[in-house]
Amino acid sequence: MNQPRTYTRGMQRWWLRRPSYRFYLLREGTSVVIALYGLFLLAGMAALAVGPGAFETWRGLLFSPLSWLLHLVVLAAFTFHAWTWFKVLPLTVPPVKTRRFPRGFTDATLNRVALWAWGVVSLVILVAAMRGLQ
Amino acid sequence: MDAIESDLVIIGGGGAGLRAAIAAAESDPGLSIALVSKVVPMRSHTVAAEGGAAGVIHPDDTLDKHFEDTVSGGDWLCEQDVVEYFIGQCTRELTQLEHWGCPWSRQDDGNINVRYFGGMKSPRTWFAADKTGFHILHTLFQASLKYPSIRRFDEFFCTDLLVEDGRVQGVLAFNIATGESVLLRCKAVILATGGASRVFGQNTNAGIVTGEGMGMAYAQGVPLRDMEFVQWHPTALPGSGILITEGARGEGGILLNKDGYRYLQDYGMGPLDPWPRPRAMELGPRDRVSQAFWHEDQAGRTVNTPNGSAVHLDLRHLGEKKIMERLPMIRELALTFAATDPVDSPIPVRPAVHYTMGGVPCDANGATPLQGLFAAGECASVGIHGANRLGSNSLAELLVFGRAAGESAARLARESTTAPANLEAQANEAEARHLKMLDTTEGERVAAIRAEMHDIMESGVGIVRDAERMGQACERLSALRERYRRGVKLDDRGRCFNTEWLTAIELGHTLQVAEAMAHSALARKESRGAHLRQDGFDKRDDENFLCHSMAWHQGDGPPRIDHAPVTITRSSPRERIYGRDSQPEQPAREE
Amino acid sequence: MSQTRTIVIECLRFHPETDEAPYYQSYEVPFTEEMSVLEGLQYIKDHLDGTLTFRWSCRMAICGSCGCMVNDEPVLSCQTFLRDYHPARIRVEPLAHFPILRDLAIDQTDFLAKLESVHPYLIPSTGDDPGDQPRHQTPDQVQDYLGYAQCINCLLCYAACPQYGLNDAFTGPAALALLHRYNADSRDAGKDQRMEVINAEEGVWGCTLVGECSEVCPKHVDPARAINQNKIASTQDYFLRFLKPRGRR
Repeated sequence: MNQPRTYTRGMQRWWLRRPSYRFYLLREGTSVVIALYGLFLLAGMAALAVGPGAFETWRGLLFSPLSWLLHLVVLAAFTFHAWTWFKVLPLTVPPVKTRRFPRGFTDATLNRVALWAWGVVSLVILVAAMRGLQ
Repeated sequence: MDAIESDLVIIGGGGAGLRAAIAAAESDPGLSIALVSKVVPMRSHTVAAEGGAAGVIHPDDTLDKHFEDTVSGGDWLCEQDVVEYFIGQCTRELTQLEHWGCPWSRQDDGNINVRYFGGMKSPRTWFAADKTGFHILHTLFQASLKYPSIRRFDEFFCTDLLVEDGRVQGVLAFNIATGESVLLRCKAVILATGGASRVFGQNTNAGIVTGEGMGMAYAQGVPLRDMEFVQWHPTALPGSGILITEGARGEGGILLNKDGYRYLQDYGMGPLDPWPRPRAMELGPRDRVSQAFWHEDQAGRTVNTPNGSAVHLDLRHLGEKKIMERLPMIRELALTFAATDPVDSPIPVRPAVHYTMGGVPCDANGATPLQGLFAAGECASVGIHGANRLGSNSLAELLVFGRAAGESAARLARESTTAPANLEAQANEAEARHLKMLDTTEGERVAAIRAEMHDIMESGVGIVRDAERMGQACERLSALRERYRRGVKLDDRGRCFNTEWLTAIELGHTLQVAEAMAHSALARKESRGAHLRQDGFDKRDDENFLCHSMAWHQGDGPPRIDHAPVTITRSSPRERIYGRDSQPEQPAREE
Repeated sequence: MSQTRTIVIECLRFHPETDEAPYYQSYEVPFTEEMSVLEGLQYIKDHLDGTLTFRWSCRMAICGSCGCMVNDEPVLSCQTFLRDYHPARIRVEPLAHFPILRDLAIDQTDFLAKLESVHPYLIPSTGDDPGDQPRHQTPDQVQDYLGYAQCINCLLCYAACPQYGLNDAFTGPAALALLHRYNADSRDAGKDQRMEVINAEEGVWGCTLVGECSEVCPKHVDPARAINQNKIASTQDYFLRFLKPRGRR
């Protein structure tokens, strides 16, 4: 039997088709920023290994006005990414309607609990880091 | 034309077809089985069954009760030996589905939960919320994937049975996507093509339920039995005809006329209390409940809706929790298609055609009078529904008799020694006939002929009938068939995925089935079950009509009708009593 | 009858015998308050143009035949209503990401093969023989998988998944949700057989959590959840195999 001839439409500019696709790409894009910042921190480590001079140069980079600006951008990307990450977190557990969860527990509850925990842990780290700097 | 050899061809991939395929594959893994369906199996109309399937499992229930309910529900037109076999197999089949993974609703202790349906002495309906047909169909389809000997032909449209030397030896089908024909050679055929409710306009059925399986057998000289018995489901949404399950009443829903009055108490199904109780009020049988609607409508006590008159199905007293647990789809359907939330307001409902009790006659093994041809499910008339089917018996039927037909057909195919016949000439002739339709430039549109057929059947062969209107329907159908023969005008002349053309072929079969219904109805000069007459034949007449109607195909002319005896083993006809005297034996709900 | 208005339905047309590429054709369709997009298409087929081709059957959102794109949104045409778009025109196209057979009918063979690949049936443990009795399963145990058993195979989720559009080797949302439906069933012991499908590159790891499959699902199956639960299962499986090379499998 012959196979019928079909027509397949391409995926050209698929991200324009739905707002949610653009949101998804933005979310994935922020992870690139995170990866790049990781590399930057790694470079600091490497500089430390090379010697005090190299480390001072790397540290110097941190205090330029451009660096301040970039750090703000990176902070925004981090926050956004973390927020989306916690938003999808409930998808990794069985449906909350099932018996594994207490009555009245919803995905939103889980999300809220996770966000609070994240906030608290971040705050603790921040305080500890500030103390360390003093 | 391509030719494909199989041992067994099953036409139809719904519940009966799939169950037959699995049974055949299990009984002999060496057989090659072709499962041919005009839609992908999980699109079949079994998917839309809501309420449940009957099987004795409740401690208060017995096989005898199931037998009695079925035979009295069918107004004693059932083949009682077949009913006997049927009731003995139902629970086994429903259990088999459980073993295949069907998500049956459970009691708290993990046992199967059952509920009441109309006309039942004890709760007997196994259910999977209110999507029982959906879960049965998907469970069967997914289970069928385990058997490599089942080869599916999805979206192949069968048009003709090919008979040589007095036995079915093949099927002509068209691959819908390409429009190419294919000759499916085989040793046995199982028809599992479903009913013919789309003969009517107001309809709970899917668009595919057009009766061409019955038409194919009919054209080969197999009579159609008891075709006048068409079931109106009492509760469908006006306009769309979308089904609101009897399970809604089984859970305690009530029917109210425009004055908020439970009118069924006036039609021999009262008194009101206690409610719910079996075989009374809203849990009366479908024929009686639909007929009561007709009388209320005549008396002007129905509610007007933009889509015609209706009564109210009230579920509000069940509360949101129970509605969400037991009837979630009903709530969704009412919200989407009637803009009504049953938690807050009653659902407008009216009767719509739901089921064809009649069909291709066959024995408990599914064997029809034509050698090599088997039938199962709604297209068959195996004899368990009589003049009125009991709710929940049809899902059980397609399992019990799907399996029986699958096993018997497999046996026949295995033992068959006849040399393959030369079917090419026949197949080519049939193919040419269908292809010729693509050249027709004159004539009427498919939709025009179909609309006329709907009008004829609704006005002439409706819930309540008389000789004059049935006679007119017969004449108009004859004229309509003539118009069809003169030519159906098609816009679409290509071969690939030409649904207009295939619908036109299908309509040819449907018209003949309609004619068999109208003539069988006219010839039955009594009232029995779903066949209710108002012209002096308003009583059952066991003396003259305790018999099956048989409609015989007569070429282009109207069918010849004669009658055949009914098998009665242990239940002689009595008056059918519901309501007051049906003696509630225990409180209706098991909770 | 309710009042009749008119709406323009623009349909994608493609005929494999005559057309090199698809094009659009517009029809003016009279409609009433309760008419669905499907009924609009049926009106066209019956009265205006018998060549327009689309699938439909139950017209009550349970058979899964009539999925299509309406204004770029994957929907079941039987439960999408013309009144919600009027007075603007609507554009109806076949489901995205699938090859077009003709007009609004797509080729679903790839999906059917994927459905088969996930072992979508109960695989009981070897010692489990319930005989002629139904097995026990409490309502809670039923709840564990019932949501995932609601899939009607309408393919809207595939039409919403750009990963499937970009690489059709991906097993995809509906098939993976069905896989999880059986894994989550207390009567099933076939997890190990299905783990291979989960672990494969085109299994759960083909998903990047766009999440649109769950958004468009007309039966609230939440395939994204089924898939992401199994990413955790797949990860655990990877480390377990690492720790116990001669373990159970």
